[in-house]
Amino acid sequence: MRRGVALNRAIRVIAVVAVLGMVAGACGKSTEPTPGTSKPPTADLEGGTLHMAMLADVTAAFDPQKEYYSVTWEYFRCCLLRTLMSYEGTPTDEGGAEIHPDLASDAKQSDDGLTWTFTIKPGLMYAPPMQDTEITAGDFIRAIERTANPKANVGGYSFYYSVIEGFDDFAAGTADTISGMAAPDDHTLSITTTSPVGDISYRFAMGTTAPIPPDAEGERMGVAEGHDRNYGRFLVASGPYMFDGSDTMDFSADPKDQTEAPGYVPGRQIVLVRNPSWTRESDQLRDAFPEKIEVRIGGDNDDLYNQVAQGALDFVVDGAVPPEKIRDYQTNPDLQDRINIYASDAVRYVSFNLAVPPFDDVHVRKAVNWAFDKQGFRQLRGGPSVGEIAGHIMVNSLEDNILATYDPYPTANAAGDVAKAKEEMKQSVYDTDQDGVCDAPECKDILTITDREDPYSEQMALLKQFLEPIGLTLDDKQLERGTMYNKCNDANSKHALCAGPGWGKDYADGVTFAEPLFSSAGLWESCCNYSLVGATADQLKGWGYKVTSVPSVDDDEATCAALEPGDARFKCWAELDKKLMEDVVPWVPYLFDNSVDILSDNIKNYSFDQFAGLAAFDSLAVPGNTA
Amino acid sequence: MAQPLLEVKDLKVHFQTDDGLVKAVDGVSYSLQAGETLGIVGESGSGKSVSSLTVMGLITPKQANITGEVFFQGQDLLKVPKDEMRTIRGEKISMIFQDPMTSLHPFYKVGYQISEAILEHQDISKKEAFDQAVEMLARVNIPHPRDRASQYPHEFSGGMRQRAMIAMALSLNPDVLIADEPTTALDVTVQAQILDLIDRLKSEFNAAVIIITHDLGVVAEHCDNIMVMYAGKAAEYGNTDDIYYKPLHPYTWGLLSSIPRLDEEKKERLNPIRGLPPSLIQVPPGCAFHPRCPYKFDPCDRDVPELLPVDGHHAAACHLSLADKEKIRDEEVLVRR
Amino acid sequence: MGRYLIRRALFMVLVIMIVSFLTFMIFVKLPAGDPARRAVGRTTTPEQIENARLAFGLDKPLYVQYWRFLKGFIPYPGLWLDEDVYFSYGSFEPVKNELGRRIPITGILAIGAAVIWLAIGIPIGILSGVRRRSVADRAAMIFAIVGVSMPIFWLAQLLLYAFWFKLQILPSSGIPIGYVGWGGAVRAALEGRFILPWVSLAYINAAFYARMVRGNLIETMNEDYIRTARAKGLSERRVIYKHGLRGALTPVVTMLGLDVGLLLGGAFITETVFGLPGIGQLAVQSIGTNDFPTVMGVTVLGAFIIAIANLVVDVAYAFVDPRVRYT
Repeated sequence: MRRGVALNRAIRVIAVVAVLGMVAGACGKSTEPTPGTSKPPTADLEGGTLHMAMLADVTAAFDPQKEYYSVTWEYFRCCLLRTLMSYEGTPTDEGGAEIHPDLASDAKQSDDGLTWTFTIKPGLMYAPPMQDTEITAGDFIRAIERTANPKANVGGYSFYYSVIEGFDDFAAGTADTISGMAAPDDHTLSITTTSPVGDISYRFAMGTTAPIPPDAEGERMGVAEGHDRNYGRFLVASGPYMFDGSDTMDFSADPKDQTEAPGYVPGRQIVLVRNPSWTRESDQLRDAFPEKIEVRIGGDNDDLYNQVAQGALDFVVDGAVPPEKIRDYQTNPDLQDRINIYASDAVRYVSFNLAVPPFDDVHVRKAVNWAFDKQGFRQLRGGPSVGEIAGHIMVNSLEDNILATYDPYPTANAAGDVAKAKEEMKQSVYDTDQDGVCDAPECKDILTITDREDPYSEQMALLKQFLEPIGLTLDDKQLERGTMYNKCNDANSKHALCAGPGWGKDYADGVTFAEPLFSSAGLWESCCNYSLVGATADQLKGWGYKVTSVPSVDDDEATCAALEPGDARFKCWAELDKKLMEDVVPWVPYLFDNSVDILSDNIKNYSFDQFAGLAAFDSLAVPGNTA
Repeated sequence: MAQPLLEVKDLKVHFQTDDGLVKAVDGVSYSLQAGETLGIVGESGSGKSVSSLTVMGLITPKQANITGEVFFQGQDLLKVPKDEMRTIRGEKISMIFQDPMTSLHPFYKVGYQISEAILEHQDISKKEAFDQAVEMLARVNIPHPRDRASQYPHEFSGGMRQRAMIAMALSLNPDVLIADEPTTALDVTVQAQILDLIDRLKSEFNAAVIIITHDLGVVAEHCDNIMVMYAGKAAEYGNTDDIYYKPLHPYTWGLLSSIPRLDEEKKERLNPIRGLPPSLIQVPPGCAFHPRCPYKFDPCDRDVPELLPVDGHHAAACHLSLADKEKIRDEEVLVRR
Repeated sequence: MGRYLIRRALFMVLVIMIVSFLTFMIFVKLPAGDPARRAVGRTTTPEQIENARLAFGLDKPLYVQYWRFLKGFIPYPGLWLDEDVYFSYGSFEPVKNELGRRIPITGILAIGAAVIWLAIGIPIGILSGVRRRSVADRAAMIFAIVGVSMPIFWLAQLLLYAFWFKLQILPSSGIPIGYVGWGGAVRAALEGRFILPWVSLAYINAAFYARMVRGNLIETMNEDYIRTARAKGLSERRVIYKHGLRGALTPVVTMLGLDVGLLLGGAFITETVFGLPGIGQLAVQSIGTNDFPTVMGVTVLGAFIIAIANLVVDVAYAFVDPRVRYT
């Protein structure tokens, strides 16, 4: 997903930090023992209340069909909702990107690859107040129907399920049911797709597919009936935790009269308690250590981290650790085991609009890649601890680290190389005298859009600085974040460079990058193909461009998307990544983000959930927190 | 002659300001007997108000350099301690001011303001004080006094407000009442009423009154003695007849000549005194009036004329000889009248 | 008085309508993001945007939309901030619920601060006004100048750092979990969680009021009726406190009503720095996330509060100054 909104809260640069000497290695601390890999006996880790804080609330009040936010996804995965398939809540190198059956006991694919049949584990019950209701196949169909409902899925990701036969018809109202979904019996679910979809199991590990229980009156939408706008407030849990006071919800009353689960007070607090219906034996994937999780919403970033340092708070979910604290924790031997840095699977980049000169010329785009001072950009974000220099587009976990050391434009210290840039520029039509400096009129006052907050505005100054020697000057517009994203996405805006965006995976598969960012399905008015890769001549004309053709990677993308998960699929994405970097050159990717956490000394265990790109909340053990 | 009630001797009040030393009152002397009405007449800036405020103790040594003596009932008020002065103020000597609308507190009822004065000086109950206030309002001829006492100043008419002020000033039966421009802010018809009221009350309360005004018409009917002030000093002093029929100072002549007459032809121009009153910081040397005096001669710009008695109590401060003055007066001034 | 009140009430309605109309136009006509797009969030397909429009009624013509919002102004149960229209894009619940939760916090903050700043500011102003140019006056005015010049977020951060982080004598920011409603807010106040926020707000306002009282008092003491009071022989103490102060403090009534009204609309900076979930914090958050129904709801509430505060102040003034009479 687009990373700005999630991580703008996570990473806010306060000042330029001096370069640190002792920073843990690349993707995660694989060279040092991390808390969580050598686990003490789990019984010792159970119990206690975990005290967390969030600067901002979740985005759609926990409505599973609406929430498109990695923080909420973590709450769903670790704690509130079980799905057909799910993850272990560990980093990639511990298998955190692999998918496992959760509510399903097994999954079988038909020979033509179009039908999947899942067997549902029997005897699993919902949380109170539906503790007497078993989780059955029909409940998943209900969830998908709600995902198709335009009133309920606002802001969500229903497009991932269009591939299910009959989904779009149901969504449009022309069909009564989704023809591709069937429940021949209570514990069998079959899903038929319109084309072979290799990553279907990943799609059924997302919160929007979590089962929704029926209600006593047999309403179509079950307990979600009448709550199109805000089912999240009435969420019936299936995971190890539920909202405090869920047992007081009464679904027999008229929806308008039902009272919300008191444990979640929007803007104020989230209180999760153990779901009595959940058993450890039925769930191999989750630690579920704390007895209770109390989350306070709101506060001042630095103040919250001070509270963590003092032990008054255990963890900040969506803050940005102040640079001086990062320094402290990394250099102080007593604190070193309380800081955790992992790749959060997001990339930051500057995108070119391939239909706007001079960027319709691949040599100019390559020259910019050569000239780019990625080290400087990283420094302005806060230094080496905030991430790894990116040499390619897709984050490493999506390619099983195949391209971990790949960079087709390597420069000393990743600071950019003007000489090489000039060599490249000489081959461009916009360098009329071939001296390595872009001199055609199109090289001047290039319309560039960026985010107006720090560090993007400082990065803009740096960008201008290293583009100037190759003859490119910029006309920059610094906009509010949401507006920036809108303008970059809008093909009519005819911007040439978009300098502020980031992109994170939705789940651990390359399709979540390739499709929205580089396939024609992601073009305006859809989202997020800012470079216009794959646009047709008619489309370009319709948006008012003079350029009539741009490269396309639709075929490559479709090929990879059809493959089954595994080595072949990883390799396919890696090849596409290379083609993008070397032939299409739609971007300059400069940083693979890190997630930086510090923990209070109450926490005796830690695990990083690669799926959501956050700490696995249920793995934060606080056995001593009796308060 | 009986002992004067109030005797002011050579009073000087000088204010230190950023622009210089303002000699507001520069050597004024007068005396007041019980039952007498003294009129102090002069233009704005002549020092008439300042001298009275100083007598009341409302201008203090902290605010100005004060010299001279002010004897009242055997004490020099300028040397009396502050607290004692406070008991004298309001009870023995009281004052009413020019604009009754702004001089009464807008937020308190009239009856309350009067009884407040009473309670400050007498140890009686609030109810008694209020009753006294109502009675005072009746004595100043305000109809329905009990209702009126419960009203606010803005509910009174101009004349009634001034009556209320007078009631407040007289409520403690003072020996001296100082009225500073009591009628200036009122209609002509009301003016006469107020002045008559003051006269009547003076005899009822057996008080002495000082009326400060710039209006010669006012003093003519109601004062026994008149002091004409100019630039902080007394220019002429005498009883009403003396001043009106036998004035002996060019300034007084000028004042009297400048009064418009009903029986003159309309197209006759008015006769103002030419020139402007002097700055009190830079008072002209010698006689302060000399720049404007048509009869100025040699000593006038050098020597300060003293207030010298001419005939009994009639005194003038002018270098002209008596013979010359009389001559000028009879031939020019009175003819014009 | 009755007729006056009715006229003022009608005028208040007009003011609120204008405020709401301008807010509506700002949000609809100058979108930093199309509200539908905002609601939909990140990746968007044309269908999704269309769905959002339908869900939030954005497909209807502008005047219909405005009418729907306008109905929410009528302070009648069932119509006031009705749940269908005033439904937050952000928290997905009726705006009314959110406001109801936050009012106690803002209320305690505003009232507590007001009590403190009056208790400090007025005496200092009186002292200064009475003893003009003395050492006390100069010291007081330095206190006042610093107070009105100091940015509140700076003072707030400083206090938090000094008293919580370093000295550990006061609790940290925020209201703990479970402290709901007025009861929870009072409990938090008794635990001292409002002390630093109160001090931050109070200092700055106390300074302002001290200067105002001082200035008014000096002016009032030059009035003619003060001279009369002295001429009556009243003690200087009585002259100052009964005659001078009466006139000097009446503007304070006006200012206080308006200041408290404004605070109840939300002291956003204080609330944000100290992590207090009040109305001000909500206002800014919802503007930042383009959560239009919440913005409208907060605006309506704020406008009502301020309009009522104005009315109360005007009526109170009639009790204080007898020259003022309303027909």
